[in-house]
Amino acid sequence: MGQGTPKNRADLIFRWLSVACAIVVVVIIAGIFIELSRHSSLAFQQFGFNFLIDDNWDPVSHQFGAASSIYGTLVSTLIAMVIAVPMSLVIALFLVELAPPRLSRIIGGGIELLAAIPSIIYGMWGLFVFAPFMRDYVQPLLGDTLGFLPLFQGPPMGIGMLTAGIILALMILPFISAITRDVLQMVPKVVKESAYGVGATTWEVTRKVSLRYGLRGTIGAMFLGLGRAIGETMAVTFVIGNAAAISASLFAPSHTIASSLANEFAEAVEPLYSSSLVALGFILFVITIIFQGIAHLWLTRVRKSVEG
Amino acid sequence: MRTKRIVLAALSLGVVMWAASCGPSEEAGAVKLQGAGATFPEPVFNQWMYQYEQVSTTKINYEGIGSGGGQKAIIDKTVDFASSDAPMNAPELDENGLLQFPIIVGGIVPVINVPGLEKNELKLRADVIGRIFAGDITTWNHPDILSDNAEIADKLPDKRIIVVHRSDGSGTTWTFTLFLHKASPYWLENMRGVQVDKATGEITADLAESYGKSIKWPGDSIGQKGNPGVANQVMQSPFSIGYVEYAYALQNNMTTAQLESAAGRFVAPSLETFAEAAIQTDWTKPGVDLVPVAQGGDNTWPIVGVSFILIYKQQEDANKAEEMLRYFKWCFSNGADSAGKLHYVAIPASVADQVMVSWAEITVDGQTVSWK
Repeated sequence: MGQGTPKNRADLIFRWLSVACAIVVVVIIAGIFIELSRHSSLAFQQFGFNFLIDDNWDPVSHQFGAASSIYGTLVSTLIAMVIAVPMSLVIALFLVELAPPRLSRIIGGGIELLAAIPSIIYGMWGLFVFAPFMRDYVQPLLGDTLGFLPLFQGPPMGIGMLTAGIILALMILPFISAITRDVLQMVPKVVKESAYGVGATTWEVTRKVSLRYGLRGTIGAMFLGLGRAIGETMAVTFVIGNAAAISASLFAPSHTIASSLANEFAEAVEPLYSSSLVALGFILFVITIIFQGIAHLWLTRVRKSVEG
Repeated sequence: MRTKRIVLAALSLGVVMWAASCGPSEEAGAVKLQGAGATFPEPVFNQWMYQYEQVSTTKINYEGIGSGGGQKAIIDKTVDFASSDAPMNAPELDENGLLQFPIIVGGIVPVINVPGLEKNELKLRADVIGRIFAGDITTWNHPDILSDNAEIADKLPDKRIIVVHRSDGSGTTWTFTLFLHKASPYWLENMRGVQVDKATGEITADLAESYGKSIKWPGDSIGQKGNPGVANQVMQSPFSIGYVEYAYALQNNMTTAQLESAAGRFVAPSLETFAEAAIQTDWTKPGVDLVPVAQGGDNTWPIVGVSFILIYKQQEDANKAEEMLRYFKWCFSNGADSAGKLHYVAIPASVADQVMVSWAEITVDGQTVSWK
């Protein structure tokens, strides 16, 4: 009676182990949230709601406002998504639908290799190779042709919001395309072949069959890429110019929450300064949760519309 | 059979861990010291540490994470000693039980990248360089720059000046902005820390300081991490200006500019002009006031900084404390040559002697450390 058969005992152990691991995850998230709120309470008490909309970040007079960091984070991520999402979708479709199998495997391997490159390498490449290229060719071109828009005004420095956004796009592109490709490959061949059988063109099959099947996975991939872009630190720090200011121009330097923390946290000795930096981290945490929530809602709606 | 395997695995793990623990830490005398802080003195520190390892078993590791990072690291007790160009004031030192002493003097120079300009061709007045970094003067052919540089006016084009500063908390920034605070009226007037009441727009507090390890730079200037980051950015960007410790400008063969000394003459950066400033320094003054910026004298470089070492008065490991003080004594007595090669100025011998006298305050369990 005492020991039970080995099969039951293994099940019991496995169940407790998995419950424990799941609880550990919840505890860690709760712990992070509690620590962030504790250490940032000084800043929020001092500045109140103003902290979110004030763009003044002044360590000398101890006035801190998160607006410029939040702006930098959101705009650089937006640029990255606008560039990366369409491109990765097209790449994934090419790999699955159009490319010969051998080419698809080679390019697919290349994309996975890109995803494995450490972010600091992207940062160094961005600083030494890409920023001069932007400064000498791309930014003057944009300035000459589209300079009437406030987005493309100002001196071309190479370093700035636009360069950071493009580097981020290059970093999340492999992620989104690799996952989207896997998702599209899981569309049952039988369904696609039936569609071809009734006379659909390649584009019609792609749009109405493959993409509809793979929509949830594709959206999930997009949000994974978004999550990476929002928190990316080292690559952004090298090329964004680290200026605590909001500017309409994409050529201007800026900073993100992650880059501010990377630059200033090690040295912030005064309590209000370090509390303000932790408050920035808290805001980033909340932004990430909000985006997770949006992703969840969107996926639920999509599932309802697809499954009818 | 299964139990046997488990016992075997546990035994081998135990053996491996025991072997690992009987490692270098058991060797007598091989002390490891960990330091962190300013990138300002890092070139000379690296030289000294390399040379010291040839004559001693002590291994020293130093990380250049910025003066602010060093101060934080020593307060958090994650390092054995810290280095900072921005001295801590007396109340902070007492509160934390730290001893602070100067270790090396070096010059900070403006570096520029204007195609066609040679080293030390450009002459900048204190207020002009203050206005450039404050964002008031924005082009290279501004009349106030041209008025001092009439003979090279054709090399100063109508191009935007790209200002590069330190993005991390930096003692180099602190010393540079201290110079601007003292010598540039425009800088002091416009970059002073003020607190403004949001509702009324009134100035509620005037902090009167326009210098610091991190300050609010104009919105269109670029920040990079560390002295190397600024040097690299200036080298890569045409028509840019930045400030770095002299060793970085020297090692990368960068174009420097002449600055106006407090006596009104234009001076080029060199070991001689840095040494002049060190001679002018009143070493009896505490912290901020001893830093020799904007000093008088015809041949004095106006931006000269001092790096300080921070260590705890109450040490925990007698062996480590001894080795640490022996190393610093070695730096004082043997480090002048290699420092001079990198254009740093050694601390005068009389000051070094006084510093070593103050080391009597360093104790382990109440006993002074015997490092002689």
